[in-house]
Order: sequence, then C-alpha cells, then structure tokens
Amino acid sequence: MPESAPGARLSRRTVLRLLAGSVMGAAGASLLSGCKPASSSGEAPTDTQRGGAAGASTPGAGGPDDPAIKALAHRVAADETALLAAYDKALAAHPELAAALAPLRDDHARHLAAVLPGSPTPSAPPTSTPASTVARTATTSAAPTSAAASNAVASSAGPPGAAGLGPAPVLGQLAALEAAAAAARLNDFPASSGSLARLLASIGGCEAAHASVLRAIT
Amino acid sequence: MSEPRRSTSPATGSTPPPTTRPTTPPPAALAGALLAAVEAENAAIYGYSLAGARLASAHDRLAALGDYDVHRAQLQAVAGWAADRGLTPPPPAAVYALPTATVSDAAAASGLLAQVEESTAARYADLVAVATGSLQRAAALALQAAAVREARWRGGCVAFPGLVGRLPGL
Repeated sequence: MPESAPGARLSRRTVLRLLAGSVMGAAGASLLSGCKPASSSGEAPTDTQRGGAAGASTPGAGGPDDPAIKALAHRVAADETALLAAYDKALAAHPELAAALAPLRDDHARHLAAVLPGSPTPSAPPTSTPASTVARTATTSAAPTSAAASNAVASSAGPPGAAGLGPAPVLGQLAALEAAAAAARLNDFPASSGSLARLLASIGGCEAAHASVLRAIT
Repeated sequence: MSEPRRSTSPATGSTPPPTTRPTTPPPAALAGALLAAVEAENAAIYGYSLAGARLASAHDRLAALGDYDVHRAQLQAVAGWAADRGLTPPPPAAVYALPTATVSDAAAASGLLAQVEESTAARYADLVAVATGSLQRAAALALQAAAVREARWRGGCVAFPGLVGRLPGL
C-alpha cells in the first residue's frame, strides 16, 4: 500500500518482516505472509465490519484463522515489539534503571506471547536484541498522521539522538510510548472476538498503568 | 431477552436517558455485563469508604478521596449506559463482600483498594468483551483508569489488569 501512509506501512511491514526473520522463524514468516494489511485509516475496518448487530460473537468468525483477527494480532504484536525495543534501548543506556524498568519490559513480553501464542518471546538481554533494529528502522519513517494502532508506537519509538539522554528524558519517552500504545488499544478492537477484545483492553490497561508508573519515577 | 420494553423513553429512575438511541433490549450478555459494572462501581465506593480512613499518609488519604469521587462519577456514567439501553440498575446494597474481611492497617487498606480496582477492571473487561462501538471504547477507557489506580495502590503493575486469575483462555 505505498500510496497511502507510506511511512506507516513501511514501518509496520519492516517490523513484521524483522519479527518474522529474527524471532518467529519460518513458521512465523509464512503466517505473516498471509497477514492482510489494515486499511489506511486504522479504525475503519472495525467500524465497517461491525455493522448493526450488537452481538460481539458472530458464529464462524473470530477464530484464530480469521484474517481480520490475524491482522489485528500482528498490529498489536508490532506495538509490543516496538515497546520491547524501547525498553531494551533504555536499559542498555541506563542500567541503573533496571530495577524499575525490567518488570515493565517483562509485561510486554507477556503481552506479545498472549497476542501471538506460540511465538517465542524475546528474552531480555538489554543489549543487541533484534528488536533494537526494529526501533531504529521504525524511526526512519516519517511520522504518520493516521490513527492506526501500531503507527503510534512504532513511529515514535526512539527519536534520533535519544541514546545520549539522561534517565529522566528516557523515562519520559517510555511513558509517552506507553501512553500512545494505551490510546491505540482503545481504537482497535476486533469485530468478532470478544475474548480478544478483552485481552487487548487489558493490555491497554497495563500500558496506561505503565505510563503513570513511569511518570511517577520521572 | 424477554424484556418487552419498547418505549423510547423508559422509566429509569434518576438517570436521564439520552433521546438519540432507540431502546431495543440489549442482548442478555450485554445487559448482564452492564449491570455487573454498576455493581462493581457500588462495591468500589463501599470499599473506598471502608479502607480510606485506614490509610497511613495524608497523601494516600487524599488520593483515596479522589478515587472515591471518580468511582461515584463513574457509577453515574455506567448507570447511564444501562439506562440508555432500557435497563434499570438495582440500588446499591448496604454491604458488599470484599476480598479482605477486616482492614486492620494501612497495608491492608492499600491491598484492599488494589483488589477493588482489579475487580472493577475485570467487570469492564467483561463489558469490553460483549460491547461494541462507543460503549466498548468507554469500557476500555474505564478499565485503563482502574488499572492506573490499581497500580498505585499495589505499588506495581500487573501484566493483565482485569484478567488476573483468568488467563489463559480468557
């Protein structure tokens, strides 16, 4: 979809490709290749698919093979991967923050495992994880104006020059990323899976709590 | 759903019903989740009034007072969501069963409030699972607010607020 929000699309694809190559392996890659890109406006698929009926459980839809569900899971996974990368970068630059940041980072590893069951979660060496590459790649794309979920996090992970920042600005950046992720989780629910909606809402709750905790440290 | 109410202006007690939404009876799961959320807000108000005075520092007591007011406002909001859909929430109970029977000291008070918020988050998670559109978003936002309060009283975050004890399988 190069004609609509090229930066956002590129960064998401890049994130997923790197995720497939470095984390998930061949099986993950084949799964990802079937991943349909979301429309350029982020909220649109949910609203249009939802239609009139209030029932959140449409029979036959909403299973793990539902393409819309798969696409949503991968959008969220891209956000979680970007957050993991941001934490890894912060931990590498400021090891003294490990006690405060490591538990928060672990929450995101659990989120990633929950939205993509069976995918190996990246363990936590604070330096040289594949996810760091993701953040750097995502940063190079232009900031999109779309409200699409993963754009909010992936495009803002690690502004240029963040490496030399002191602990307070790093904490502030992480808080902003968490708040963006929490906001994205409010606007990107599946049309046909109540249990996934429940999970994503909870992940958003965790991210909102992270943001407040990080700001309290700051 | 045997509720036959079809009027566009249901008698819903004190909460003023918006006039834009046609009042068709909600599915049973949605009705149950809405009423459970109302109940959770009533229980939270009860929990805060019980635990607030036991908190040690003035800072915590002030925070609890603010949270208490938030829950009172949120109760009105949720009751409004229910009334919009022709539901009449029951009045608050005199006593709610809380996870902690006695609140003997400040630590117990903080722990109780953390559990109150986790329970509140769980009811909003249930509502997210069955709601759609703006109601689903509002429930998710309420879950986030509960998770923020929970983290403050707990002194740390949980990975899946509102789902504690529930994963896997959701």
